Amino acid sequence: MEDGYVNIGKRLPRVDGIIKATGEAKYAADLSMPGMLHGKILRSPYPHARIINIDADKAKRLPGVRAVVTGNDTIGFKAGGISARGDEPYLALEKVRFIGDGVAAVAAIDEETAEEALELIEVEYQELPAVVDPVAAMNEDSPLVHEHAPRNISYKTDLSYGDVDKAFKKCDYVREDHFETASIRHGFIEPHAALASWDLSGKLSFWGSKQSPYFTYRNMAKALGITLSRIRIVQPFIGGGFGGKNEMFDVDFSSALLSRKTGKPVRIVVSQEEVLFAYRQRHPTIIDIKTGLKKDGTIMAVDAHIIADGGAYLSIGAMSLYLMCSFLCLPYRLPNMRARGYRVYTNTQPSCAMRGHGVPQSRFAAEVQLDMAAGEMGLDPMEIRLKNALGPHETTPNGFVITSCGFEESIIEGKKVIEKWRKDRPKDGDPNIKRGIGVGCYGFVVGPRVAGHNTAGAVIKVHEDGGVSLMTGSTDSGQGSDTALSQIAAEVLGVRLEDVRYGMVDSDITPVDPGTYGSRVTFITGNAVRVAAEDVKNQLAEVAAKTLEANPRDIRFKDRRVYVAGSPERGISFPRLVKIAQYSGAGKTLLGRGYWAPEGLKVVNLETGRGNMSATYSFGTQVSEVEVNTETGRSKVIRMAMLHDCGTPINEMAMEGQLEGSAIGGIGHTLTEEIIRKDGRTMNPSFLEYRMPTALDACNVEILHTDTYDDVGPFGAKESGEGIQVSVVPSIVNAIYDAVGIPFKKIPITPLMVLDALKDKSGK
Amino acid sequence: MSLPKFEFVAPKTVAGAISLQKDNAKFIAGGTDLLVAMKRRISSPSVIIDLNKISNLKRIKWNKKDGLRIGPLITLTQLKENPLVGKHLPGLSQIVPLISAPQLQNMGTIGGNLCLDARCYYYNQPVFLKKKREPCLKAGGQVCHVVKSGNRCHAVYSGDMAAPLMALGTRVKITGYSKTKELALRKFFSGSGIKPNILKSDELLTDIIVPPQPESSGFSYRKLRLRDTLDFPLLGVAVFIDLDEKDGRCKDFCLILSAVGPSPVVVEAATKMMRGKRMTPKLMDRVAREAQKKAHPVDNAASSPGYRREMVRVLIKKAIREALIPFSKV
Ligand SMILES: Cc1cc2nc3c(=O)[nH]c(=O)nc-3n(C[C@H](O)[C@H](O)[C@H](O)COP(=O)(O)OP(=O)(O)OC[C@H]3O[C@@H](n4cnc5c(N)ncnc54)[C@H](O)[C@@H]3O)c2cc1C
Repeated sequence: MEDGYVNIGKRLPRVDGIIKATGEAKYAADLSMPGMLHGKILRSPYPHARIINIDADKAKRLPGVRAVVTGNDTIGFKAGGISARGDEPYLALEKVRFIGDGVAAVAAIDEETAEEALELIEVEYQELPAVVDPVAAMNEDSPLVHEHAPRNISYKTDLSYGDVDKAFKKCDYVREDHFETASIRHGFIEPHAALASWDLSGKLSFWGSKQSPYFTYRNMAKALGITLSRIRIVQPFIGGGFGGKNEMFDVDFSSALLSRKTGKPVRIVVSQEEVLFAYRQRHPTIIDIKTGLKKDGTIMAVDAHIIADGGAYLSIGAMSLYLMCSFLCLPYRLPNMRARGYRVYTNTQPSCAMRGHGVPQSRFAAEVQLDMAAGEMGLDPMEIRLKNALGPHETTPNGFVITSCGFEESIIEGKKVIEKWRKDRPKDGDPNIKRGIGVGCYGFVVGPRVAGHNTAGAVIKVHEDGGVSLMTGSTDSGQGSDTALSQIAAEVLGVRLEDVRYGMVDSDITPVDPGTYGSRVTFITGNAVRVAAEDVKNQLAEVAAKTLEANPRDIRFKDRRVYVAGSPERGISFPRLVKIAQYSGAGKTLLGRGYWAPEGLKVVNLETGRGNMSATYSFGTQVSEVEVNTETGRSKVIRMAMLHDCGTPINEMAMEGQLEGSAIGGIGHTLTEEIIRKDGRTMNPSFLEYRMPTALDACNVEILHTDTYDDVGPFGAKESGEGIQVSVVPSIVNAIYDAVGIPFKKIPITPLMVLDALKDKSGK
Repeated sequence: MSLPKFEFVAPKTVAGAISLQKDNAKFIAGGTDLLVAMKRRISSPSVIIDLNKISNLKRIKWNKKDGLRIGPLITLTQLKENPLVGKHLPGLSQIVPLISAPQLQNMGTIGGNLCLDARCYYYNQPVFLKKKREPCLKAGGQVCHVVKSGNRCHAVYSGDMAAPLMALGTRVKITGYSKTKELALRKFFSGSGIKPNILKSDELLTDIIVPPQPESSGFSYRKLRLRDTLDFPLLGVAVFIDLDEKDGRCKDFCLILSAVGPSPVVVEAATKMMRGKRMTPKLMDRVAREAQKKAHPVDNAASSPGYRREMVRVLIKKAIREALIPFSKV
């Protein structure tokens, strides 16, 4: 590790900060083109129905309408996280499977006309019995959402390591509990939006709100039946994704199809209401979990049975289910584990990845159960965690290899926070307010390596005044990666952050990239950027060596200067060097190229769950303090501490933003957020009734990172902000347990649940 | 989401506004309720009559006899910041932060708040999600999706200002085509979820008159919600107490419940029970129980009816305790 960085580890404002804060940044819905048409999507009003006929004649005749497309205008491509099992057409083919399923799309001269046209499309449906409850869906006689999936099981896993049954027999303490989590929304503020322009040469240009634009690049080609070289995907600024903007959707596809049909650019902007009732959600789950421990608190075995409500389509659900199950092996040592998981189709919105991807649900169950066990065994929740904490160089039974690991340190720091908080707690005023402190821990992936394409690439161009242009295939969906990646490039090249211009994804120009998921961008793309910067730096070092009459290996780049190691006075400015390199002799075209992917990992087999997901893992401990009002039943989180091992932070300010977002999101998940449905119909499709916490509901968050350096990560960095989401929920639930002595096994914990539980407890 | 098509007029006088009324026209003040309803296609007026150009409706005045005279176009933020309100009725300005969020307080008016339409889970859904359901009573249909057997609309009046203003004895002035009338705010509400107030389509709320409060009085408004911002009340409780400072007996008492039915509920029995009595925990409890009988929340809001009913008692006690704070100092 080299000291005295100019960019890395500094609290630098984000490169996109000013234009986002001032509202200048352009998002997909802000874009327009001459002659552009406006699109709208007709959605299914039924949870389950067969499409008998679609008659769009009246709609087509409405003045101002330019085209109507339906499933019949498509080649019938079906998307899915496992391509061979794709089950989701972008416009419904024979059936609709949830209220909101896209059926047809209209392009018109303005939004109003398009909206009016939707009313004129006559769809004849044959209503089918629907199933909206995942447990009922698994009955033999339940209606089938997809004919190919008996008992509506869209994916199942059975992971088993060690000998669970034998282990339980040897345990001193065993408990079984039943947990449930509700369906919640990603909660991004920018709705889905797409602008597509098909030109006469048969080339498609597309701008969309996609956190992983290359998902759309591939699926667009497949769904339209054209080659990738005819597709150009451009990424504007993205207003949040959290896993809900990875996949390509009906809005993306329809804009392209309508543009092809009309020969005009077509833009479709989905309303926030549509986002809330017709797009993705986090898997709601029903989890039965059994844990066995030794008297001294050593965890011996876990056996879990998980039902995940997948909604109408497969989406990325196989991965979600695998993650839910396999993360029972992290962050504690666990010699024996079994997890059976069922992802079930229902006639509701499809479930997909969401911040923490499946892991928050099962870890909520495991972490709350651990506190219950500790409580009954008379053990301290922190000690039990410390005792079982995985450390560096350990391997989990399913094959996760731990390398750098500050987990133990995070628990020890967490203990200190708890001691401090217990001391500085105000003398209780209102006897109806009960305070409690709870903890949760996590381990998380840092850029998983999965089947398929994993590599990130970066290209760097150096300008003659010393400025640098950086291009990667990665998308900043709001997490700040444009800034982190720019800092990495700046540090390697010895310039400053403000010298770097970050170019957003344009598939014609930027390297192909998997996307923004699994906390991979800073870690994987960061390494690609480092390699690209080193590449161009080496080219420059050769020129510098000639100019300064030194060995290229002795050339140093720092803070816009280039000099000979050991004698800083023997140097020139960085811009000067670039000019010399470009102008003298044949001149150089200064382009750096880098690509990187985690190598040497045993890629996970989804069937057995065996393999190593990630080149390294992040860890941490979350402490929350709550006040429970025993009169109103309302719980309020009053402060939090997040102690995490993110490796060495690239930018602490950006990292804090990530953590705070995770913390407050977790408050919503635990206490207020839930999609309420009646007969498959969403009752609260707005941010007024779907209660995400706002800035005014936030609390103070203390942040501390452990002193960890990851050898593989760029400048020692790992991941930040996603993993910790896993531990926020259980820390709050455990804090409520501490406050009123009741462990809640279902989230969100509503005031009524609290009051009822208090009544039960007092034996009324 | 776009607005449906409409014609827009902005008269400068009350008479002008009234004369422009024709069927299916709507007055607009801050628009924070109406525009949302229009975007969801719950309301589609053909004409929008903007009241913001009528300077008469934007004043706050004080005189000793009548008290505060508040124009309906005063925004919630203005109400909060107005020095006359701060001086004579500080309790009123303190309610504003409990309503919606700062941006909405800047736009929303006190008049619009009193004239707020009643709300219901089913009725307020976007039109698309209502498609395959029969229209409800409020939407001109024959059924109620909440209380299926009933033939009454249970949409909830959810404004935060009405209950406290009623507790303070507020009167309102209504101006119509040919005549004006002044009445107690408690008479302003109709008891029907379909149309929660008695205004005819060509009548305007033109004045809100809050009488001067006795020196010896206390006041409180408590609101139940699940988030500390944005949320409409799941229950509102307003309490006014006038105490005889010599013997500590109640000279007057007023208790209003809000957001548990189509209109704010005046708990008359509570006034009778309290008058002439000293406040004791036992009496407080009796009053709270009595009030609970008057609350009939149904399953049409974010929280269960049982919970909201249960909270009636809890919030009443909190409100009474808060209203008594000025007296505990003496
Ligand atoms: C997200 C959100 C949260 C909210 N939270 C709350 C809350 O917590 N508490 C709360 O009380 N309200 C809340 N509201 C509702 C609203 O913002 C306020 O009630 C506001 O005070 C309404 O005033 P306005 O001027 O905007 O009304 P407008 O929308 O302009 O008008 C509402 C109705 O009153 C009529 N009207 C207005 N002025 C007059 C008049 N002088 N004479 C006759 N009729 C008139 C209009 O025709 C219309 O039918 C919320 C709204 C939103 C969108």
